[in-house]
Amino acid sequence: MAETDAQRREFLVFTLGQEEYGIDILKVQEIRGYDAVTRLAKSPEFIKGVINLRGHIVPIIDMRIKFGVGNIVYNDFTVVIILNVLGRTVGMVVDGVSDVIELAGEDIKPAPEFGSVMDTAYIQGLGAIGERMIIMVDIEKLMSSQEMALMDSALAANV
Amino acid sequence: MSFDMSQFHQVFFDETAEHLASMESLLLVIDIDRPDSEDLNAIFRAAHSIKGGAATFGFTDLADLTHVLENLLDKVRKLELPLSRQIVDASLQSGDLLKDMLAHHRGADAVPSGRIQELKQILIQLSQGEVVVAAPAPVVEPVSGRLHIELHQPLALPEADIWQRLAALGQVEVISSLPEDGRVGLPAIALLTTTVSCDEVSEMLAFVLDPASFRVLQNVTTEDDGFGLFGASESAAALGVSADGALLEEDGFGLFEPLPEVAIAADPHIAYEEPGFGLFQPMPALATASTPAVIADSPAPTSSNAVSRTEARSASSNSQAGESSIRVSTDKVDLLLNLVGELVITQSMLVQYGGGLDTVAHEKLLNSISLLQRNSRELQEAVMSIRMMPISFVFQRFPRVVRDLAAKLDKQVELKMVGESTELDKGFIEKLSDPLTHLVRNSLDHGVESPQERLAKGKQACGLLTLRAFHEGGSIVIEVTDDGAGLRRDKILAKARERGLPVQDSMTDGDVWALIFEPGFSTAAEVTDVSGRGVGMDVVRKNIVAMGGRIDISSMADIGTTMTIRLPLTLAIMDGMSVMVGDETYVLPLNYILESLQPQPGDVKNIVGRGRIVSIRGEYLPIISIADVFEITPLNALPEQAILIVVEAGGQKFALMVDELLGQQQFVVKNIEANYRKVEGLSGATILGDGRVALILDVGAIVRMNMQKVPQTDAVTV
Repeated sequence: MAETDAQRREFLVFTLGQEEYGIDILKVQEIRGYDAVTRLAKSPEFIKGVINLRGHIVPIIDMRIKFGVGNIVYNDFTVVIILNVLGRTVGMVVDGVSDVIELAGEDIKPAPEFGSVMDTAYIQGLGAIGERMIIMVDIEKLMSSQEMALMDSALAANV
Repeated sequence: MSFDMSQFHQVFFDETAEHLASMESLLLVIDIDRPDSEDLNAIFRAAHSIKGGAATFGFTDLADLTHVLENLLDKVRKLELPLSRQIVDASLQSGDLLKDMLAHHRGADAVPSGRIQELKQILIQLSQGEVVVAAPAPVVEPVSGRLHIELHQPLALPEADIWQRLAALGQVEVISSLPEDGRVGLPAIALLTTTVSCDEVSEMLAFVLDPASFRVLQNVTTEDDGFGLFGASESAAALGVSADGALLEEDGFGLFEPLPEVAIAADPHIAYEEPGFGLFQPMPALATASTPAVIADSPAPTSSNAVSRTEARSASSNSQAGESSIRVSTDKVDLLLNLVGELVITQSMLVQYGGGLDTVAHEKLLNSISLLQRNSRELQEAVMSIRMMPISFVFQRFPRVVRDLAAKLDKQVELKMVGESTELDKGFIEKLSDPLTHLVRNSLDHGVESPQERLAKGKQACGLLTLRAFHEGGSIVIEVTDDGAGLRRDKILAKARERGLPVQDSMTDGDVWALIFEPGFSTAAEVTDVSGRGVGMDVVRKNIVAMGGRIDISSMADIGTTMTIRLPLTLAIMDGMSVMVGDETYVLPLNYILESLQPQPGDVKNIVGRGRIVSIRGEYLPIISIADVFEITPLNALPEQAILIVVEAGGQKFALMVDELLGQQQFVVKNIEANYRKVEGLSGATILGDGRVALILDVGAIVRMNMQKVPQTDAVTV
């Protein structure tokens, strides 16, 4: 009993288009609404800009633009997940946050080659809860990847 | 009872570095013919403390060398040896070597043992070879006496062994032994009747025991009041902390010798004869006692003369002891600074919202808001001041640099330092020392003439180099002034022509002097190992500009040269001008801005392939549109409708085109790279009064970007 407890981890589930994704909840700092961002010139379109998060300058990425899904509007219901990855703080806009689930290690199955908007390199596996299938994302790997252009390449290469 | 010492190693390293620094600074100021006994004692004490610490922490190599050095210094201190330049030099060299050895223990390369042996030999020769037996100094201890010896647990040797060793020196009378059950508390006490001095006994014990575990006192009356103060419980409590005691300012500790006999001793030297061990004096009051005010409250049976002596001492040792302070990591300070910055922003939001309220109906609320405003500003200033450090941290290395360099160049130079207590941001302290060293070396090498030349010019043989620091407006000004030959206008111009720089004879002095900041520029006839390779000045200027400052030169032939460095007060706060471009707000650092204006129609001209230029009082400046650089749709596409801000970057002037000036204020600088990557053209970000983020323009980078861009955009702009 104690052993399985130790192996159970919590994941935050968010939606992006038709799919549900799960990320390690320990990487999540907070969830907040979408504020006005300050645009950064010459950055990729999906990097919306930076916000002031209690004195820290935090970049905001719109995952909907990045992966070309969802309805890209910014209103009171737009959700930003503030992540803490590799000692950095990054915000990502998603379609919605559904819930927090608890999964044991054996509940996560290796991902087959399948059609997802996200590159399978960043997918840790598939978690099944009843009827739902949740795609487990290695958010640290994704955020430090070259294609997100969030970090200087030298730094990203070291990760 | 053994515990892991390694956790204290860092403390020892820091402490030792401080001791070495204070030893060096004292050695440099000491007057060889008439040395101040206080200084000699302080130098000895520094060496002694290093030895004590090194032995405690098991750095035997350090302890060995310091021991030899200490012997030499001890003789000098006791006037058995006259102080000579040789001794000062050897001591300085020992200091350098100790620094290297310390660096080795912290992970650097090992120091060649030959060097250590060689220096040891020199030190021994100095201390033996010239022992002047003449006039037995009055300081030397009177022959026979009784020493009071206290041993505290934990001991490295069995108690009986120690008594046995001491018995070799004289008659040992054990008064009390350590408790059998191993309790830490009651010390073992013995009286030693011997002809050997208190120092020497301490010395001997220091080699076998941890200095924390014993005390040797010059004493006769065991039942003296003074010892009543050291109740067993107090000693125990104090011993508990004596391990971290190394953290405390030990200079202060030597002061509190609670021995009436010592206080009234005929010779003042005796009072300080074992300050290193005083470090571990188990006195509860010591932990806090570092200012004279506290000393007065200390329970030590100090007679009034002892107190005045103490005060005199602490005044003289002010520079080493410093004020009572704590070490806090800069991360914590930065966090505090961040939080206060947040508070100020929140506060200015409140002010903004409060502005819309009816002043009569909400009088109390508005009063509170203005009170909050004042308090948070004061809090911000107070927190800022934590990051500030006196510039003496930079200056303190220069006496040595000047001394060594002057000797090498065969010049006579006196160094004067003014305004050492001027405070500046800690971030600058480290970055300043290289540029300043360059300037000082330059002044010595090129500025100050040789004594013969100086005499021929009717100047004093000894040149004067002045380092001066002061506040002026919102900046720190640091001046390096020499009274040497001054810059040679003709030489610089000739050199510039040789290097193909565009110069005319009609150039102002300021423009000519600025030429020496060009890369690869050196007028030195020959390259010495001191300077003249021409890599210095452009690097100096680059470093200063990177800190948000600037450097100016003024010089007169045969009168001298002054290099003036101006730096903002702090890295974390910047004076800036906020501007609107399209619907975006950007901040321009004020130190780049020369003026801003709205050009008259006709002042702006298009040059094919070169973009637009504007004529300002006969000067033609290229126009850089911020909107183009950052791909913004500007409100005004034409410079005549927009506002031009004239900036100077990299020695050239440019006109930046923006839509509107919003105002000038101080901005808290935030790093973009902390969470994102570097963005070209931006040096950072800041948070505006309404909580939004504004980006800070990197003028230098924008100018560079524009230069690269010009050829590609030819077709578009023309």
